[in-house]
Amino acid sequence: MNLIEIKSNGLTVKGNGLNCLRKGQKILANLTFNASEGQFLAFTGHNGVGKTTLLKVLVGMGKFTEGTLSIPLDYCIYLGHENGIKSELTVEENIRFWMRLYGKSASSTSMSILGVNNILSRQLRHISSGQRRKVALASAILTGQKIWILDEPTTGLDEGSIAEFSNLADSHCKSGGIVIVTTHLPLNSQICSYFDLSKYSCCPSSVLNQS
Amino acid sequence: MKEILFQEFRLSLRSGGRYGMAVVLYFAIALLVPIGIGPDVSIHKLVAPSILWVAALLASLLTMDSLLARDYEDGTIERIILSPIPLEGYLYSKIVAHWCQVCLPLCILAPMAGIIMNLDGSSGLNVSFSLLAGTPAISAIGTFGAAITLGMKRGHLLQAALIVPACIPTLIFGSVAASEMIRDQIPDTSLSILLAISLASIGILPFASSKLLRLCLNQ
Repeated sequence: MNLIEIKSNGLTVKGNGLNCLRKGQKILANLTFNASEGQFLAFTGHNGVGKTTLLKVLVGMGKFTEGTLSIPLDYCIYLGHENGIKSELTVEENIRFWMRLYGKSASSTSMSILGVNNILSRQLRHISSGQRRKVALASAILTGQKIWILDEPTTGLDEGSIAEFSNLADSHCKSGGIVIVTTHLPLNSQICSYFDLSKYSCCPSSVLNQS
Repeated sequence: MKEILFQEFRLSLRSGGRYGMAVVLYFAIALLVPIGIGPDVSIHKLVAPSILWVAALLASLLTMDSLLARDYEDGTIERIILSPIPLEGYLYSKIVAHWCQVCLPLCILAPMAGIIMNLDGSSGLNVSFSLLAGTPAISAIGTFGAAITLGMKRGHLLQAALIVPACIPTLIFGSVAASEMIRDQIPDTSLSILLAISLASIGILPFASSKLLRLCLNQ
């Protein structure tokens, strides 16, 4: 099922020689990567290496000192560690809110990804943290943005849901989208390229972690 | 922007009227101050406009710590920044939602609170009118204070310390305008300044707050 219709117009996310900062301290040095249409890129590395920092730099919520970054932010959707959904509202209301914010018509039938259609009428406070993550992912994916930037999207998901997310990401890329994620675990994707950030790390604590 | 506004109203209803406490505090002050002053009705009438204004300011303050903090903690602001809605639009929606849910009920209930303080009906309406003109500034200043202290530990203490002094001009001209209207004087200067403060706050502070939010997120 291809839920998202994408028109190709040659988008790329490109970082060249980036030095990324966290709290004023350089933690990634001379990082170069490129993700163009159809690519699924997963940044990996041990805890503290700078995966989240890098994603924040990509979406303009982090700092870098050197290098160049090219990213069409108008086409991006970002989901960080926090879900950005409200516990007082139902699953459907949360998804509907984000879809409408991006100008998408929000019908219940369109919300049939990651199994959230089975819990549409339930309040968020009455579902598990894994289900909340799925709701957050669905609310991001269904906005129809072409570039997904997701920070550890599979945290708390069961194996079946990880596989379904990987399939969704694969089909999004095959339709011309770009998916950039951070992850600790291998995804069940056919096309995902893994990019280890450890060799670009210059944070003393992460060197300690590696050893 | 209307989506954010509706979301705010929906959240307020679902959380059992989280702003109801503001109304309770407003009436508590209107009830307790005359008891504290004593039975002299002329003093009650004299101080009532100022007390109602102070009560409105304190009641609004009570609700300001959660103005942006919840959206920051649950990741909503991070997602809003990349959305087609400009951050300024998001902040305008928050100000309008706060004003409609906290300040507007206080404006509407001012004549009732005025009766508790021995004001007659028309004097209470005059206080309502001055509150209508001045409380948009309180909502805008509150949002600005919330943006300054976002992500800080015990930020609500600093927020209160920042908002109270910033609201003093609004408080002064608001209570002066209300008192002048009650005395059947035309409150040309005070009301004009009050409206000017409100307009300037609404016009400028959301933009300043959006810069602060970006700085806060771009650590």
